[in-house]
Amino acid sequence: MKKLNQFCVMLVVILSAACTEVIDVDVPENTEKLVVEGTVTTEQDSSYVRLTKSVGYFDNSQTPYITDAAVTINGVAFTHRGKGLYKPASPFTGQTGTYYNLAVTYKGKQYTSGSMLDPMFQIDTIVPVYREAEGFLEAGYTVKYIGIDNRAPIKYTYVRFGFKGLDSINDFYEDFRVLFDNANTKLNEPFEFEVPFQRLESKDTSLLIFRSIDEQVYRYFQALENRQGGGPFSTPPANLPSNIRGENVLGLFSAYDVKRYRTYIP
Amino acid sequence: MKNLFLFILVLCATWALPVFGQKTIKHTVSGNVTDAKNGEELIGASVVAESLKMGVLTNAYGFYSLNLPAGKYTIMVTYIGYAPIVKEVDLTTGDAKLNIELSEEKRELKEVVINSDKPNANNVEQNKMSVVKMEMKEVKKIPILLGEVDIIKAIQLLPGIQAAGDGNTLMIVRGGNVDHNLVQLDEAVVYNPSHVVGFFSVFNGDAIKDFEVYKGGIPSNYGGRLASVLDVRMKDGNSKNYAVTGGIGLLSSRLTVEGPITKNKSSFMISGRRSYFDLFFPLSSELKDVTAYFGDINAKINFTLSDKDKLFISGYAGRDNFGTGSLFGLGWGNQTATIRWNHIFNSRLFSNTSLIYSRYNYNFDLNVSPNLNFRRTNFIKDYTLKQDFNFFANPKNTFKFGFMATHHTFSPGEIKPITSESIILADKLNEKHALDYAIYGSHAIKINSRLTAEYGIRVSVFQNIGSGTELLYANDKPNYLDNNYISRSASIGSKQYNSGQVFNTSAGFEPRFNTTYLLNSSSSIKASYNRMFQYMHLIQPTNASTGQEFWTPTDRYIKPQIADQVAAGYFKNLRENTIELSAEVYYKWMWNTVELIDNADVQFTEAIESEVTSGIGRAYGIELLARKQRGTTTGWISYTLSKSERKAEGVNNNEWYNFRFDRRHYVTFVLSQELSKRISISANFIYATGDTYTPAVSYFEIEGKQEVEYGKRNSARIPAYHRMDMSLTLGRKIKPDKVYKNESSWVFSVYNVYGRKNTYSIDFQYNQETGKNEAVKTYLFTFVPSVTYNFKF
Repeated sequence: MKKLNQFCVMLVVILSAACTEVIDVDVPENTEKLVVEGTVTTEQDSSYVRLTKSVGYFDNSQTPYITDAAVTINGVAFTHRGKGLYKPASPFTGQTGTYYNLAVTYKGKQYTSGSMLDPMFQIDTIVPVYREAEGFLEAGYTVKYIGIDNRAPIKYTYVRFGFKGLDSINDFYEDFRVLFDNANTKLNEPFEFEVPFQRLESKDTSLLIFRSIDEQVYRYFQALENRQGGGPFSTPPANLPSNIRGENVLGLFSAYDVKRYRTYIP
Repeated sequence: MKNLFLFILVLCATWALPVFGQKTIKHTVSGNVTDAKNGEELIGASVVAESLKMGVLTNAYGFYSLNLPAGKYTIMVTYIGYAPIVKEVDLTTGDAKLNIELSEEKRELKEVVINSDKPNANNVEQNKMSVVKMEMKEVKKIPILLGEVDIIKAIQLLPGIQAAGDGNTLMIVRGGNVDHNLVQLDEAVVYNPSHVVGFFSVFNGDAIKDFEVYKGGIPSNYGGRLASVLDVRMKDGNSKNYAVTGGIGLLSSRLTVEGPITKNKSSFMISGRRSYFDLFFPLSSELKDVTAYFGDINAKINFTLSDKDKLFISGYAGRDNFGTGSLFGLGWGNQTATIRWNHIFNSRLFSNTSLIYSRYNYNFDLNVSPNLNFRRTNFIKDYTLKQDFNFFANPKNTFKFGFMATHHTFSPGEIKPITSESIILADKLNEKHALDYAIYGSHAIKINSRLTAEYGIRVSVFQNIGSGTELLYANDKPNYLDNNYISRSASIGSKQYNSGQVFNTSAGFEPRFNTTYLLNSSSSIKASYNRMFQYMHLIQPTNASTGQEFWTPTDRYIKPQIADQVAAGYFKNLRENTIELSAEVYYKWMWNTVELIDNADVQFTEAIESEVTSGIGRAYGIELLARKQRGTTTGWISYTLSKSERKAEGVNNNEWYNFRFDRRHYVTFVLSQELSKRISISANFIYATGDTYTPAVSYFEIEGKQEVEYGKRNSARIPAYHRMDMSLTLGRKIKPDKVYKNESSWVFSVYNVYGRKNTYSIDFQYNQETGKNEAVKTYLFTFVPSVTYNFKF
């Protein structure tokens, strides 16, 4: 375990006792950019590419969809299915250990990207844990997961977590992610981790999503986490480091192995 | 440029030659100038032989030496705020020792100075420019946030020195970064001069004797930072009487005890401060678990060992702690210690030897659960030996020379689990070690009655030494530009170095030059040049000082920062030197500035060189000041017009961008008025062009969330900053004809009287409730009243 960015976010929230108010400011005129969101996952038929455009910051309008681009991933054509979403024509499942290349052609211009699909490590056990009230957290349940990460370092992991209440219809996921790498993880030793800042009630269902991501994608989400908070304790604003190549383009292409876990809290 | 300085050096050396060729019989009068009331040595007092109109200033230890042709002289000693004194001295047969005690000036109300001659014209005559010196008395008059007397906040009201944000004690000097300032307390470097995330400085007003800030024309005995030197000296302690000074405020209190150990021979001073705003937290259900306090202690003893030897031992320790229950906490602290030995070899050669220790550390604790907790710490620790000599050749020629050597230890980070069950493994980034040496020499010369000059050289060397590890990268590049973003290079290996092994050396040749030409008795023009090398760099990941910033040394990849500054000024005194006017222009070039890359990740990162990039900078401006330091009405008006920019590879498309605290206009107005012997009022007003920020340009969607695209770095400005502070000081009732041993006063003050919500920062956010994007400003202090009771007995 090397980095725990979200803790610093919490620190920021607690320390920022300052006052805020909404103000009017002028922003520079927007140069419309192509936005590429591409994923290749190991779950069947969940890989997609979504093409939209950026919108002036205060326009407050729907981001426009791109419907007439040519999209391929490792030579497989992804075709437009509506609302800027491109999917493969035939069943498509990402394979671990494969490097995926994305190519987008739009209005005669080329946009490319690439991402390595590394395997996720296996979670063996997930155990609900009861914790007393601590600081701003109420008493309640969280979960601890245990696995062995024998992947050659440095591999990066992205975790999202949430819950589903007994009577809720939808799953709810927290806005922030846990990002970590295995630079210092010991081989062949069980790796334990407890979901931080979570307090569930009995009969809730804990939700966990683990993704293996490559370094560039890790840097993108790390930058996204560092953006949260604001005020005196935030990091200087900077653009998210896109891995899409081409002129006037934003976005992210990520190939990842994914594991999902639902754990009922008795 | 280099040729010009070579020429100046040769010219000055030629002027200096007569020093060694004189045959007239000469004798020396030397001694110390002290405060008659408490025995404190006075730094920078003027000692002049009236008939020859020749004089010197006392050095940092109150020592002076005047080498004059044999004869009888009338010596005039002046120091601002003190009544001048005139002494006769006979140098017909040999040297003379003359210690002088000055008494504070007593004034009547109608601005009549009753027992002093006209004030001196130091502002015009001294060969010093871009220097700020204030008396502690003057500092104490200025209304300050939460009533805590603060030298840094006082000097931020002078031209060229600005706060890095509302209420902040970190300084921006002539467009430099916050780490471009050398802050010293009794010669020990104070790495983080802030308490409470920057809102108070570490300097306790009751423990400080004297301070001086150089923002240009920096003499060769100082080095190591690009922009400025803040040299703070602690009180030695009252060598005549015991005294207790203190203050009780709403949020913090302080107490100082001082007195003689052996009367007139040795004394002590101990001073402590602690905030207690955390005592009120249990009253609030939200804050009941919160810890937040700062405290510090200053202590000093000194001994007069003989007529020629004096020993000073001083120390400082400060601490800040913040946290919520056992869930998380952070803290930091500075500790310094200085042992100084003054030795007078002869009446003209003064020496000071210092052994100095300085340490700054911070910790960050997180304790989410019994199996998820850790403490992260880092520190920087220095041991320094310094040797300084002052040689008072004659009233026309003074030489300063010396050397210093420092051993630095940097611990960039260590993580330890708090409980044995914690899943966070203990981990430590490699410690770094370095040696930092410098030798310097300077010669101050009075060429004729109008022209004076001081030229000097400092040669600095910085070496990375083992034990240590150096990471290696392809093409020696720790990062590279790819797809318009800076990417980190993967390390291709590392080199290990044994303890004491030197593995990287950087050196700097730093010429310094100051000159003054007297146009007439009340006006002069001055010019200066200095080259500065900086080998230590602050890595500050956030917009404010949270104590988590850390220092990193120059190494194989991070080059020393370099600055050249030229400045010229016109100085004029009016109304018999009671009003001082100055106008200065400066231009500063900076190289190898250390800039964080976009989205830098510096938290517990071994390869810190991958997270920074090298830049260049330029800063220039005009500073105007009109100041009145004497009388019942004192204060100043200042105006600064300035610009500061940076440029770095991979940042802002490689184009020049505004420095974060670039402010075009900066106006300050400080006024203090004594209404009666008991009552005085003070007010200050600041207007500053708003700081820069990076504006949002567009938004886009990834994974169903709106994300912001930013425009050019620091290309927009927050609204202008302005505020007024006021204070009322109410002394004790005084009956005429009665002598009072005790003093006390109430100080009522208000920071930001008209409650302006000055923007601290602007953030761009998506409002989930309204479904719209917003610009949200953060503001800190609006209308902050405070009351403090001060006492002295």
